[in-house]
Amino acid sequence: MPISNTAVITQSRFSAYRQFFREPLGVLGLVLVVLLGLGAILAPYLTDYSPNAIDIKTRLAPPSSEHWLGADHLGRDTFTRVLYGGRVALKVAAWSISLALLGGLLLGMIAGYGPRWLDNLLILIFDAVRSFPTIMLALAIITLTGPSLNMVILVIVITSIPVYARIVRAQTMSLRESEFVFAARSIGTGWFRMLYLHILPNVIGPLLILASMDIPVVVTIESGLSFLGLGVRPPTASWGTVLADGYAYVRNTPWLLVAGGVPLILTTLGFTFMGETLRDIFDPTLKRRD
Amino acid sequence: MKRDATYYQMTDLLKIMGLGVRFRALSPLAALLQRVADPWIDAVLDVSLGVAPGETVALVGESGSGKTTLGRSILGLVRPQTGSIEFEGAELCGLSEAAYKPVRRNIAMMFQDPVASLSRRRSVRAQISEPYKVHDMPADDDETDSLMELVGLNRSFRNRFPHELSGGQARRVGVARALTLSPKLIIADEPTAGLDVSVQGEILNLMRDLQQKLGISYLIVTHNLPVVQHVSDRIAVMYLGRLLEQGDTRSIFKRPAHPYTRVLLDAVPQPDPAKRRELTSIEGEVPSLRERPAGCEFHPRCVHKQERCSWDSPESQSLADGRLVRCHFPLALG
Amino acid sequence: MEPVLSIKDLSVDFSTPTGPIHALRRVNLSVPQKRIVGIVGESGSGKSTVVSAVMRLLANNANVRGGEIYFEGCNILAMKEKELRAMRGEDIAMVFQDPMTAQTPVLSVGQQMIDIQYRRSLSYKEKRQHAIEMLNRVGIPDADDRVDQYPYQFSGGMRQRISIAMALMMNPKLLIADEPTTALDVTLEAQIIHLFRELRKTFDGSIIVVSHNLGLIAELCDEVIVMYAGEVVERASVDDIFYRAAHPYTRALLNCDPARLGELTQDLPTIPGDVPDLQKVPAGCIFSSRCAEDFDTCAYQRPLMAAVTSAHEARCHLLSND
Repeated sequence: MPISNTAVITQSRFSAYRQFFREPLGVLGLVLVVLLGLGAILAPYLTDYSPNAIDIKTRLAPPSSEHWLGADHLGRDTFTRVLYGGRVALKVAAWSISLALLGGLLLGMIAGYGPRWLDNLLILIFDAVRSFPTIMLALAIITLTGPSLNMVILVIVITSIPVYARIVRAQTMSLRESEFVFAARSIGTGWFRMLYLHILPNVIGPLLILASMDIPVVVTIESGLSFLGLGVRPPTASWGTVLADGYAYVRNTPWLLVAGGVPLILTTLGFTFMGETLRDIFDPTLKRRD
Repeated sequence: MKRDATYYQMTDLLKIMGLGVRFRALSPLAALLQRVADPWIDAVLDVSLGVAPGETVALVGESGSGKTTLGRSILGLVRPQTGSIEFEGAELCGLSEAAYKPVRRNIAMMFQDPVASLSRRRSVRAQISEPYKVHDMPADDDETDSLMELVGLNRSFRNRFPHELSGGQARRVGVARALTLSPKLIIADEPTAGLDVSVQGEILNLMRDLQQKLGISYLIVTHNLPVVQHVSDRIAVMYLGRLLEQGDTRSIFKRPAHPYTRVLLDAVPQPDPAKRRELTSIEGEVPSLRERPAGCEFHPRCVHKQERCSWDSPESQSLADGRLVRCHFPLALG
Repeated sequence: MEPVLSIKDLSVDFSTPTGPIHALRRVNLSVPQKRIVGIVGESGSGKSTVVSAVMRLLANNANVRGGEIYFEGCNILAMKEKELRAMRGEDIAMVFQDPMTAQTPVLSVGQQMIDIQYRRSLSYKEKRQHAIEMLNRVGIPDADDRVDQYPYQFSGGMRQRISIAMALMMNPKLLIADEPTTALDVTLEAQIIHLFRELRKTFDGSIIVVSHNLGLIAELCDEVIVMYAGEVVERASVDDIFYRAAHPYTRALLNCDPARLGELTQDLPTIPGDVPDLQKVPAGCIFSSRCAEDFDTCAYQRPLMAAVTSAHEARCHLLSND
């Protein structure tokens, strides 16, 4: 079909922001995420208690004006522990996702654009790592090294990189055959510049969306490991440890379980809503052009 | 422009000699399982052609002719297996990707899909001056501005993005980018594809102006025959990877020597009701590259075929007016 | 004789985030019985929109702002979905530009052709036989065997022939071919032109050929309608259009076609300027901004169709002034 000589109006002209804010679920997701994030960051200002302050007198107290969500079996304020638990979640999410993104991007682009033998080697490594379920790998490593938050982050990074890298690799390989890459090669562009200027910007979009949908998964893994006693060491507050305590003392008070579980649910909902809305905006197969 | 009946002259800018480009149609395992002896397809087969400085040569053919592959192999985007390509006397075949870089200052390409050939997230201006950065040269903004003017894009286009351009505008950006380092040769891949007839002339006239001003040579790869007649000095006709006829455009259009060229020219629908005719001189379709006919590639569809054509692949022979034809029984010129 | 198709005052808008595009404005055209009518136009002319409107296959963001399309006495635009389905494939059929996506890849060609005959109460064998006959008519070799093959086993040229066979199966009163040869190589194009000519001898209906290729129009059509930027600007027999074009756009367009140019020493002719923005349709004649022969009236008054002869009209002030 003849290419018109008049300008084509495309969806991209219509800012992504505007499209995002039209979707109620997406906005809800964003609100949840922001609230959770603020709660974690501003924790010291939102509560007077220290998360580890023991007060046997208020042991297992139900919610009251002094303890908004009650207290746990050692009299520690549950609300405070939840807020500080959010900090742990934030730390885990921030570190593991960023490192995984970085690693995935680099290795994925190299696998996709570089020589065949390198690609084969990297794929082999990816598949080997991916054949271990994350929790199993975590259990194995942590049994050797002892529980620690940093170990949790390390495990998550190691198991996430192959997933991200595969996606980047697939995108890179398909972009490698596109016209603008040929055009860039025809003017003499070398591999580094090609990856940095031409491949990276086109690959990073879907990757970021994937990463944002991965955050709740990562947080849940951390909570799970902490629940099992393999993550943060006591007495540190984490949603997982609060849940563990809640599990132990469920007959005395249900509030610990609620306090540990609800933030997890909200995190998952928030990021999922946001991520899906973003994907609908950026995914070219769902976009409708005139 | 008198030219000897050889593929190329000593003075030619570009000399392609016996070029062959093959692609693997089946992986080694699949070939073994399917008992296919030769899993390769020849996209370009024994092609020899020259382009002189300041000349425009049109490479014409239908789908599967290999013309686009030939164009890309000159720039090293596709690597030939046999033959040689000489540019300004230097051999290009066998150069590594890094060694090709300086060559890509002097040969540039205009791509068929202008919007797709531009990087989605970079501004027009950044892309036109991209060649400077790639070759570690200081960006010459004045030069870029004047190039944009030259191709008819005013200042407002500087910061636009490819998706904000019309097809014609994107083509001009492609031309400007190709010109940035003042190449000696531009390979134009289907420069009129998708353009309305009323605006085709703009891009072609621009190319001609630039040729007159800067002495650029063009290799125009196209299937648009009516246009070829007006813009090229010489024409080379390809079919299934082989060059069947090459020579002076006017002569070939007046009196094609190869039966395929004749068919091609006769097939073009004429915008003149009085010139309606029936195309009787061809049957069937272009065979697949996987099933290359024996002997002359065109013989199964040729109405003039004789027994010899089915087993003996013709060599190129030169004719009186300086053209080269690959046919045992070329059509009479007289 | 009643025309097969009669489009009256058709106006279609496309809605976009930045406002409606007035793609068709008061288009009038009619297709006589047993004739081949060509609609020629460049990008943005609206020619494809017109035929999409006839088939009621417009995009979701299209709005028909006014007009009627009469086919066999009924207004297509007022038909319900049920009536439309009865009509499509049976009375009006269409051949599309891209042969590679025109057939369902997962059904054999025969199955698809038998499927089209669902309205007929014939036996399976008879329907299959009819399919084989049609394939023969369009020049598919070994039709008996190939009828069971899948689309991917056919080349592009053959698939376009199959599209034509499928369209003509039910002997429709109107066949619409939208850029039928644009995606084909020139030798295939010549074969399809030949096929159309052959089929015409046995086909009773009318054909609309939509194309930007003047050569194709000249080879096939009896009458030609020229469109520009959403309007019909000229309508005449094929000879009148090619030899006695009255509208400046038609003349300029013919002038630009490289296949019509004689010996050339200068630059190729073009029509300078761009198609106007159809979101803000200018007043006056739609072509005036690019017309070499325009004068003051052209800028503010839209010309009406004026007769050159009884069978030839053009929308130009030059004609009324004569």
